[in-house]
Amino acid sequence: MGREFHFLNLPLIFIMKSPFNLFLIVLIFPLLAADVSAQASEPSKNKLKPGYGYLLLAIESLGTTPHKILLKGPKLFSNPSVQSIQPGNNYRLMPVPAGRYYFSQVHNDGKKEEAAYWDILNFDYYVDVKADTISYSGHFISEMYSEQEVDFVYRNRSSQAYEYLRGCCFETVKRYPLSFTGSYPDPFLDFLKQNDQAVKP
Amino acid sequence: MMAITNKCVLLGLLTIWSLVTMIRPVFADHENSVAYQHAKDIFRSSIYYLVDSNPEGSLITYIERLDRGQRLMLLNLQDESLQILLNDLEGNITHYSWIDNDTLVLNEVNSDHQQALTQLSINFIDKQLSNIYQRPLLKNAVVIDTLPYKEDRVLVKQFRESKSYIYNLNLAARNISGQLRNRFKLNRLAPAAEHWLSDTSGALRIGYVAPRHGKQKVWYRPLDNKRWSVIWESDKRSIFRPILFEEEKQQLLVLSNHQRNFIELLRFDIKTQTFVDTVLKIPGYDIESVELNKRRDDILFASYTQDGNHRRHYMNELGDFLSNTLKRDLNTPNIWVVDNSLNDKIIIALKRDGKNPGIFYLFNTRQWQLTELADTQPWLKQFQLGDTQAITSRSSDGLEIESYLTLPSNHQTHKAPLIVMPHGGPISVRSSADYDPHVQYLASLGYAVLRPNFRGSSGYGREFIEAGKQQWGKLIEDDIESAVREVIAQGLVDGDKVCIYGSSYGGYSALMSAIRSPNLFKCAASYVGVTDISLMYNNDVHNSSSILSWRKDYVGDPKTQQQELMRYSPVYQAERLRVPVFLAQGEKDRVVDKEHFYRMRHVLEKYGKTAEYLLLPEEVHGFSLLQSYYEFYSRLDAFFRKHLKLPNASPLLRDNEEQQANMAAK
Repeated sequence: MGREFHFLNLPLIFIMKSPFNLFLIVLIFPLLAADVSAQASEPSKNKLKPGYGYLLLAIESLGTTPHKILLKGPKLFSNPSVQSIQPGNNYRLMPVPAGRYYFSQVHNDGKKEEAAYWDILNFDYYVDVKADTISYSGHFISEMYSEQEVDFVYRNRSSQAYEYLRGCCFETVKRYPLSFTGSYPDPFLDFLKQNDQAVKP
Repeated sequence: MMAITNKCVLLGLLTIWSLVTMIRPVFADHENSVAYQHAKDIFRSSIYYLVDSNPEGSLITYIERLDRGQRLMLLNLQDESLQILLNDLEGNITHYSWIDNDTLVLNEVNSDHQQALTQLSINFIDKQLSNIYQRPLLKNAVVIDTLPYKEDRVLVKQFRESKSYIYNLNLAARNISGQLRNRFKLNRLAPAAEHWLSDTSGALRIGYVAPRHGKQKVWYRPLDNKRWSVIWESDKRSIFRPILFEEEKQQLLVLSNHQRNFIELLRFDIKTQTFVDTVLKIPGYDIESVELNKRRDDILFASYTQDGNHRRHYMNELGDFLSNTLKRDLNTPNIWVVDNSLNDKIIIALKRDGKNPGIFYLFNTRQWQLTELADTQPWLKQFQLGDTQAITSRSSDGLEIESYLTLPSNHQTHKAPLIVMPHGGPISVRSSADYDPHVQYLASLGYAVLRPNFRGSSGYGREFIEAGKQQWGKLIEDDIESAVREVIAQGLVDGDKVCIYGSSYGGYSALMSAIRSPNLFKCAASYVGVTDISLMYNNDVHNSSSILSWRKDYVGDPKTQQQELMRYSPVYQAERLRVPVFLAQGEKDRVVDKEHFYRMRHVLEKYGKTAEYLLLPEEVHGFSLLQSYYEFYSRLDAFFRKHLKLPNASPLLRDNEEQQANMAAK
């Protein structure tokens, strides 16, 4: 469906081949680091590395669309970002090291005089990524209707995430279970899975 | 080539036209339906509201709603002339206050949902309105005290960056922004209170946070000292609501249920931090609110609800005398003083009951003359609305439950089908017998409507509220069923035609009641209803720890009671549903997220249950657009008629009654 990139997935041989390639990587890395810029699609090689899990990011954009959303990961080079956000729902499925990922910044397009970005780390919106699972803890909802009316909320919409994943990434979902990792337990995904199996002819 | 293109275009246009003609009648039929048109009449907003008099009682202002927008009107009582003060208002005036005899401060909400204060000064020459001067005062601000003892002064609260600042503004001064400097913030050195009480000079003396979900604190500042000290801290089960600061006695009038079952009006001594006196208690009822007089130095009345009707206990002889006079002259107990001039020359009263949204009256105490000012919804006169009566039932554990049954006007000739309408909440919310368009819409279409005040409802004391703790799907629904069985047993409704419908908790209750008792209810409808209790813990905007703690206490803890919460959640029990369901949701609901709707729809579809769905794209937790009322209620009526096997909708009109009476006479 679209471009999906993670610097940790780059073959080492590409970097080692020539110093120019290394230079290229250094130059373009800040721009591309962990940026996933399209709707989620079935990962071509959906087998995860040891200690990795899939981070399912769900972003709903209402009003003005953010230019970029940054997350803060558990390791120095594990700060994913999301670009090319479209109005409405956006999904991204990223292989990342297991750990806690906080939503840290929302950037507007920078062309306007309003704040270039909003620091939202203290909102405490996070996803705990577990190894060998697809982890989801909520939809990040960006509401930017006017300069005064900006709000970012976090909502558990796991039924929507589940439906979406089954549509886009069936093989991955079959291999790695979708797990809700919010602050409080939510039995719905397990119920859904059991229910789907029971109801299937 | 050109001919082929033209043919393609023609074919395309024909296809679009045929699609349009196929689709259009579906919408047109719905919007032309009797139920839809009737909703337009019943849910239409009042034309006149916010009626207020100036301090000397010579002028009356009110808002008149137009087809588009609203205008501020002025009635000059000296010559009975009527003038438009402000026309075609862009924003929405939500409140306004007379500051002196020729100055008002308007609280407007503009199209960006931003609150703003505007000063409006009016000048008269030879009793004729000569000039209207308007200037913007503050954005994101509200008036908190009109300071009747201080000319041109007003206390305002401005919200900035999640904080609020209090200013004592001089409206006679040319420069407003200069009065907003840091050193003029009255709460600059005060604790983070949400509400304030001032003394007669306008100095802040009491600050408090709302007693909701968490511990409450109340602070006091002596006149000669800048230091604030805590005078009250209460646990989440006690209410302590400061009402009036009495400077001379150094005492505070409060509404509280501390160490008692019902909320009473008490006097609290600041020095000893003890309750010293009971000012007013209404045996068997909570005092719900208290209104200060125009001078803001004494209490005008205390409000409570008795048999579903709002009652006011006047605290001074004049109020009591006037109230009794008005009740006698207008032959109704449901008349209240809503405003009075500072000199008590003019009294504005509102007559309102279960069938009538309100008629304003003007009472001149000097001339002892009563005049009808305005009927707020005169078009309702064409319909036969339902009478409401209180019903008492005993729940499964013997607890007495009060409910309100509204019967359609034709109930003596036809046993009415029943719609049970549990309220939201469920804790500290209640139903009353007051005018409710949701109820009268159904009653005027021939339904009886039953609204139970199940355990947890407010107004019946602390023990009754506590009895509702962790009773979602359990004793609360037993209470509701007891009321339904009571009205059926009394033969007041058709027991074979009962559906249940509610919003928020009421929607949850409708779904759970249908799951629990498929033989009692023929169908269930939920609007913005909770369908999965566990979801409430991961689905809140900026969930505070106090809200979560309160919720765990009153609903249940998903970490330790997950199986139980699943047992009482419609999503996990949907397989047991045996009756049709109507599920509706506002897409922008921030209280009950649309995920509740999606989950329920998913499982209902999985189990192949009979259900109808309606997602209203612009709606929130409730109804914000009139269009949504029409859409939702006409579909709800169609749903009820289908599953209760009723004939087509036909509003009960007064003319019909007269015709029937004439025919009977013949």
